[in-house]
Amino acid sequence: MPAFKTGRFRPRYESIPLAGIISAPLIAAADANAAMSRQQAQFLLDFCFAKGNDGPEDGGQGDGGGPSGATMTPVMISFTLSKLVTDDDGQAQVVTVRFEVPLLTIIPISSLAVESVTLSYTLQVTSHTVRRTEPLLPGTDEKPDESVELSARISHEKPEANAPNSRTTSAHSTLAVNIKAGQLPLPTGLTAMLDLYSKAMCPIETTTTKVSQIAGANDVDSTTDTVS
Amino acid sequence: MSTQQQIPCPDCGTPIYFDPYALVTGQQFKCSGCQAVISLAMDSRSQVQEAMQKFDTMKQDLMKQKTEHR
Repeated sequence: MPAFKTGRFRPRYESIPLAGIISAPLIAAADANAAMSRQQAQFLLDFCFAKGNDGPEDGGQGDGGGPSGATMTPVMISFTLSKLVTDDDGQAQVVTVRFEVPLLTIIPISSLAVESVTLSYTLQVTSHTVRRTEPLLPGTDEKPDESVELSARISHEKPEANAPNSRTTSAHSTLAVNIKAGQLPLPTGLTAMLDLYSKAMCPIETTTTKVSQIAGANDVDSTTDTVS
Repeated sequence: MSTQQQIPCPDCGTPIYFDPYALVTGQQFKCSGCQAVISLAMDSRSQVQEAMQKFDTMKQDLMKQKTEHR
């Protein structure tokens, strides 16, 4: 009795480079994110920070592409805040104050990150095994000494109907991979710095205007303080 | 893609949400906590406008690179 291969069908995923298929787009997305982060860091250094005079004259470049050794001072921009307040006499006044915030606080930096990565693969594994049980030649006892086994990674054709005295085993397997990466938050260091600046905001009163005078006359009584 | 930013109100601490692109055009934004109104000071508008333009240029360059690599 010849030995037949009668092993059970098992999808052979190990022969397919799944790791490469899945990781390649993710690595590309990560590289894109890194490139965008570098560009944003360079933008911050170029436009949102002013270089001090204590740096090296040759303008040496640090790891982040910025000048090394120099003191970088945030570029500040000014806002005005107007608010209706009531003074001790019960008169409504519009108080205008001026405050400064770093320029980098109003640049939508984090919006440049890759928002979402979705990978979807459908892997179809089809194995077709035929095992003959009839003699090769009619009238003889000669039988095949091995089975016929076909394997394919992707197949759109269905296996043919069983031939007489044969058995066909077919298996399909589907693997779907969905991966999503969300928007990256701001780096912790940058967030901490912005938080420090937010807490250190100190409004400076610039003008106080009585509401009755705004409505009534052209000669608005404004006082200007330069309290620092 | 939202570009809305926020700063804490200097008076009450409530976050004031604003669009930086509208800010450079002189638009005012109101604090929902104390009704204070903030706007970009006139002498800072050109500075912010220039920075936003540079930022947009950088963003477009990155998108262009991304499209070319597809």
